[in-house]
Amino acid sequence: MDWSTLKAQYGNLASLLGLIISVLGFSFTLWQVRKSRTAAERAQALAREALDRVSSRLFFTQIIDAVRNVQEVRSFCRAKDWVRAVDRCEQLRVVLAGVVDASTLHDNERERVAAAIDDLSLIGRHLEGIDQGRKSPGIPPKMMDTLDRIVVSLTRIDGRLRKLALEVDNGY
Amino acid sequence: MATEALRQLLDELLEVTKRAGLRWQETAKEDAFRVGLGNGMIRIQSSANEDDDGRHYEVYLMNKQGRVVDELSAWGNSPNYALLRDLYQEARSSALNMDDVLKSMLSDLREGRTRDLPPDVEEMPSF
Repeated sequence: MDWSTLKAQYGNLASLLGLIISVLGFSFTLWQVRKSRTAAERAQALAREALDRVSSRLFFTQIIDAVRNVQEVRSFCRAKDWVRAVDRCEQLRVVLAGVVDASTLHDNERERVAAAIDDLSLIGRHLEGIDQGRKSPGIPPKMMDTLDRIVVSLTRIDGRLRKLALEVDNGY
Repeated sequence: MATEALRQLLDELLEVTKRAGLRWQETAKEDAFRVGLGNGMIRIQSSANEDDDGRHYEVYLMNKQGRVVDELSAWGNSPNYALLRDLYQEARSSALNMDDVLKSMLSDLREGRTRDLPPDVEEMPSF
């Protein structure tokens, strides 16, 4: 076997080996890229999950605040403490305006919250009228009924969220 | 300041309500009614004038957060008085389900039937 034949044979072998190493190296790089992308996606999903959990807790707290506020509006109305009733009514509207667009709410709940915001503006104006002496001191029964209905609606949302939280905690 | 778009919306709202395709709701106030549309709601309310026997009407266009986006009011001889008065009456009739109540009354009347109503004052049980 002369030198040139030997060189050609080993040259071909070296090329083949080089190709195999390149293919293996490229596959390894692809695998690494894919692995790191999967890890990044998993980290992103975990971060999103954590964010959802925090916002759901925040939403939960806002609903509890809203229930407490509406109960206070009722109590202050019964006690004829109009200044505080106006104040709580305003606070309640702000809290509800903050939750009305939450994705956690079902459509019918969102409608009820939007209606509650509107009702509270009517009730608040009535209370301001009493406080400023433009209206006789007293809450029409329909307004008290509406406050009761708002308590019921918010308590239902609160109940649903609690049930949901329990299911998540128990891994259902 | 009401926009022309609001007036146009109210015209259409009156037409659709008249055709009974729209369900208005009662509110916390006796003489106020609302309907949810799109990303907001419309409330119409009426109150008695302080200086005469007439009434005035107000319409509020609100977003979901309860912020008033546009409004229109009418009294006495103002140009939108007839529109708002008619819309208020239609909204009230829809929210209180007036057609159904009247139909059931007519039906009872034609069949010569009356219904027992509870006594005005509940009788106290004797011990």
